[in-house]
Amino acid sequence: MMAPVIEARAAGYSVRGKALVHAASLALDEGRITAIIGPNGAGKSTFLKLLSGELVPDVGQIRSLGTDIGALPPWRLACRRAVMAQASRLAFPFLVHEIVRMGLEGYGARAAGGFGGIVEGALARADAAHLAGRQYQTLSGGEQQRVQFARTLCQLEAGRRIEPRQALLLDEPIASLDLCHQLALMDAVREAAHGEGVAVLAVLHDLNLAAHYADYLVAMNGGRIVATGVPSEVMTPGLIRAVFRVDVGAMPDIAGPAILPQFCRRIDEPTAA
Amino acid sequence: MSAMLSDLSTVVVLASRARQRVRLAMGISALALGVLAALSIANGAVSVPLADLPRILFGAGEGAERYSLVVLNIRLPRTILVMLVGAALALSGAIMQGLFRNPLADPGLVGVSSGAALAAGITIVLGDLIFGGRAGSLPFALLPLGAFLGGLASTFLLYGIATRRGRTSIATMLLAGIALGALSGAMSGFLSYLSDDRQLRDLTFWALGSFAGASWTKVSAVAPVLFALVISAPFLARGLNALAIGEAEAYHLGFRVQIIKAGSIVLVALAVGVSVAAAGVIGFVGIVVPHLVRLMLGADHRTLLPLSAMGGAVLLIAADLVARSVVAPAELPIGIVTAAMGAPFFLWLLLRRELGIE
Ligand SMILES: Nc1ncnc2c1ncn2[C@@H]1O[C@H](COP(=O)(O)OP(=O)(O)OP(=O)(O)O)[C@@H](O)[C@H]1O
Ligand SMILES: [Mg+2]
Repeated sequence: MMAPVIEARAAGYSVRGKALVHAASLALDEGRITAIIGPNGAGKSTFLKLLSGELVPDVGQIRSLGTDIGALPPWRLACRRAVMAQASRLAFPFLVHEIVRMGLEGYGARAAGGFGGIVEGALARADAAHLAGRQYQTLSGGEQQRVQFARTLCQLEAGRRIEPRQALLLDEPIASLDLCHQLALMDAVREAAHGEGVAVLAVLHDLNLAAHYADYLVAMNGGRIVATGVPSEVMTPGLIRAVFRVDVGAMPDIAGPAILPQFCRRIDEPTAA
Repeated sequence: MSAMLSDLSTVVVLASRARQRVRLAMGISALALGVLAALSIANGAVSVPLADLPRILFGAGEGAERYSLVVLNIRLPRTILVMLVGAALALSGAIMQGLFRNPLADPGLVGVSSGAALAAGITIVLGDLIFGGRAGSLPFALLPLGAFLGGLASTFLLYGIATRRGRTSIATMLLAGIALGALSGAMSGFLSYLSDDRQLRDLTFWALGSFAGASWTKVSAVAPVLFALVISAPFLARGLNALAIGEAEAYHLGFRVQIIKAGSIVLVALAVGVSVAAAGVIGFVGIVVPHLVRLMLGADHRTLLPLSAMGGAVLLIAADLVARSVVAPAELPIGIVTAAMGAPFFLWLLLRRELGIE
């Protein structure tokens, strides 16, 4: 059996004696979307930072293709996995295409040449092509998020020549997107997983989207993984009640309209420039 | 044909337009630098006819001997030193801003220069004690070394205080910089009570900045450092670009963040140390020039660093011309001129409120 692109083996992390993640184990499979759900403060972002190599676990191990992640040089790791953080702020007035191009800067010297079109392709797949010449800091929150997503796509596309087995780690990638762009971004993520064989891990707060798009679901609470499996097994009223303290299942007794998006029927028109 | 058209995509067009603007800016600043350098060589107590300059500089013809002494021994080293120090200061400002992820970081503003000046002062006083106070016994190389160590210590201290978990608090940085500057100033003031007249003159020189003592020796001390800075800038530039999105992000993109940060700190300390040793504390060049470059050409450090170096040379040589002409035949300390130009600029930056200060 081949070793997974990224894998946590009983990895734990604590700050000042307080465990934020307890000995969590998870293997990211290629071609599959794994979604993490869980309440605020459950340790989802911390776990993702462990998997990305940003944080070093106190106990256990994070391995990539059989090697401890800390032993890999950063540029090699960058060819193998791209990361989109929950929030990031830019220090200087960069243009959008410069930000996306940074996806191929980290190891540009080692894989010089032949990157034409990657930036543009990534921008298009994140529906941000019309923003290429804008100043990043002047974009709306959702637009910024799409540009960051384009940056990760750009990094994967460029790194694929060196590392064909890849992972994409996304921390709440659709948190500030409108309904249409939520679906569009998740479709692009699905294309990366199912079409290109990328192992995707996404932290999601929208349970409907998580259930719809995830091939594999991980529920976290209090720093522990409390349930794993296919969405239909994990997403039960009992688990939702235990983890989120909300009753679900019956038709809610609400006065206003309830929106249930028709996932398969997204009207696919690119945003006007 | 259609393949060529599709190659001319938005991103490619944007990038090539940017390259054109950079080339234009390079050309303009090189031109300005040439003109200002010629003026700087020609102007002074003995004014040299501009038309004679080429003959004096590139092999003496008749009538050139009259001026060649003053040009070759006084004006030329001074002009070159001013350009080198201007470039080093602007470059170190740009690198420091990238390191702190904030456009307000400037070695002069946040106490790095005064730390370097204090260390230089200590070197003078201690050096005289050790070397017995014989005039001229202090090797010039000790001063840049002392100033470099002082700059290094201040930068490390500042970074340690202002940066927690990869985030630099701009308020903490500026306040800590004020405190560090004040502390260095107080200690420099204390030093002045321990020093004799000659040392005192030297100490005042550090505090306000001056090129009056320019010499080929100083040029030969600054030039290698600036050369090292210019050589390493392109490697640093991509890392600083990534750092602008965030420290974690830079690591995710494949950069060795610790090396970029350590390299930046050492380069800034080197540039500031050697500049302070050669010309004293000269403020605001490091903040004005990179900001103007960013305003005109964008934030990409690959253009920001070289153009800041050019711009710094242009700005400082202009300031030196002003310093020499306002109260001629005497001259102002150049730090006064750059502060008079830079402080209002800094206030204007604050008023524009586009800096994201919290
Ligand atoms: N450096 C730290 N020091 C102390 N506590 C921390 C630190 N970082 C995170 N925590 C705590 O650890 C817990 C888990 O944080 P984490 O960011 O992983 O949560 P999360 O599941 O991503 O939440 P959210 O849904 O709000 O993004 C939180 O209670 C948080 O307050
Ligand atoms: Mg989180």
